[in-house]
Amino acid sequence: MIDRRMTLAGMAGALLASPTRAATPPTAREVFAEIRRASGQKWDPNPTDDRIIYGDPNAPISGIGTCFTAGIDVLRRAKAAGLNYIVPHEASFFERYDDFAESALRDADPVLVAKRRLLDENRMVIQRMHAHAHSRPGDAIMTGLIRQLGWEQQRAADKPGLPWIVLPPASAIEVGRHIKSRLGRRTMRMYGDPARVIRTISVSAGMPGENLQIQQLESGADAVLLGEVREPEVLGYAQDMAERRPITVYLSGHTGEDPGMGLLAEWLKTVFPALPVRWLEVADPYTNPA
Amino acid sequence: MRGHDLFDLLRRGLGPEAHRHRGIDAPARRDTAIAGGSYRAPGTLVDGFRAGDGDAEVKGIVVTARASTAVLRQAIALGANLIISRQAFLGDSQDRPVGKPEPALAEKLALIEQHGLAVLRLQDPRTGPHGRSLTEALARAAGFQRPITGLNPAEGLVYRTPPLTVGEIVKRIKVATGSHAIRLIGDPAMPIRGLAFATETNRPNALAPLISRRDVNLLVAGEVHETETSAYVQDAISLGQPKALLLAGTIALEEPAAQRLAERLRPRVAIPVAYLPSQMPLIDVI
Repeated sequence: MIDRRMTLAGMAGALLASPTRAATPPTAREVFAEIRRASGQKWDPNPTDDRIIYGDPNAPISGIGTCFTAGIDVLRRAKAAGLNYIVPHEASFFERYDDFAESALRDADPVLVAKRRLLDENRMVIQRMHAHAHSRPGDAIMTGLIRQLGWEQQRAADKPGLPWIVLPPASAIEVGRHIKSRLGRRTMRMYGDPARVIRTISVSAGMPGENLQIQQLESGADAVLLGEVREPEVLGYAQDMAERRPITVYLSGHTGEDPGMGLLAEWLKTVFPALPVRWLEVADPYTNPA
Repeated sequence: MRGHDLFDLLRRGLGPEAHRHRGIDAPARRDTAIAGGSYRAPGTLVDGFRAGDGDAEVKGIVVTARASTAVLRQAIALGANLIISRQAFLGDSQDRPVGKPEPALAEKLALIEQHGLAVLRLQDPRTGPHGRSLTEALARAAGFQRPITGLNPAEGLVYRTPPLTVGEIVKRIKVATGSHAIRLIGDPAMPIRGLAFATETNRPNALAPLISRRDVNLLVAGEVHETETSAYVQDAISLGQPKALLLAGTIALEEPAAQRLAERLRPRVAIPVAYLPSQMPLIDVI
């Protein structure tokens, strides 16, 4: 059965995006409303703050940029591309919930001041998309990561939950090099014997917490691919576990969540066909100089 | 000497804990924590017996950066029954009990029980001269002797340096921690005039005040929240500020302090004392 409200809302969305309306660009508020509607998800900004966290909701929107975090470099690239609706996955003001009341920084901190000025001068709006990127069907962040790794065909269909990858046997270091190169890492840390043979890998992204990461370590997989960890708890567990059963841990860093925001940009292009939409990719920020 | 007597002796020498600010977020126990995990909030103290019986007679002491199962087995082989761990060793940032310990944790707890071991967590920055020498052990091992005064050691240590490059500090930290799998944000060729060491790194949203200081060009920490401190340093660099961030590993960072503590303890007790490296074998994939 077709839901009449959805159909009407869909028509409104099509109108919003139609070429005849291009002369009057949508406001940030309208873009956000259309994203919520098109997502088909029940939208709950808690607990990860998927809302307009910065900027004027009435600002006219000239284009959309998705990204891992809205860093100054990303904002400059957005400006150059004429995009002023920024959709980061993670927080933008150096605190998990972008809650200035809890920030450890002074209001007059020069980085905060310069970032606000850059946003204000370019009438930019930031709308975070964290929980609702993960709760898209299949988890957009995970789907993007697996696609970037080239492992869509290697994913075991009979294993629900986190991706379980079955690979032709290869040494741990070779698998590590594959991950490093596919994710564009300049550094990638690995725990375990580089010569061990790897056949199965349990994959997670970001920082889902020790409970889930320890479950991955105990899942029976030869290796786990993790984003960010608390080292004493998670790598420490791997070290304790290695007494009984060896394990390989790859640490891809938190930016392993970035390719998923590329997928979101592809989806947003279909929602806003009349607006430029781009994924503003980030590089691995780290190096390990000799 | 019983375990608690040893802890009293240590506390007398190391002095009281440094003053803490109220926590920003209440920390969650690991088995109730969701995304992000069981981080340690800024107000939290961790020192104390976290496993085993602190009333047992001490036969031998092992000091280590993290009491891994391998370290516990080596301690047993040495005839030691009291292990001092700088870092968390029970899978929770504050070593709180987990409702349903996973297999490797259950085995570790059983090993502690079976061999009558006691594990004393000792990591809180302390304000006595000897307490400070532990907090400053990594910086001293890297060649920095006198931090600026007036700063709470629980918030970090700040040093004014002669002109040095970031790359030179990277080399020194690799030697001091024995770990080569470090991560750097910033230009290795950049000269620095001030650097900061984070003294408690297993907590979020707490390092921005250190790296944002005008007199700090480089922050050395074990680990950070990548979406917070790493993001801040990247933005500062994009704005042309002379900043860099060096992440050396939270366990590796504690090796010099564990070594220093063993040295300090050895002449003060009539019990054998050994330092055992935690040897977290992380490599950088090349």
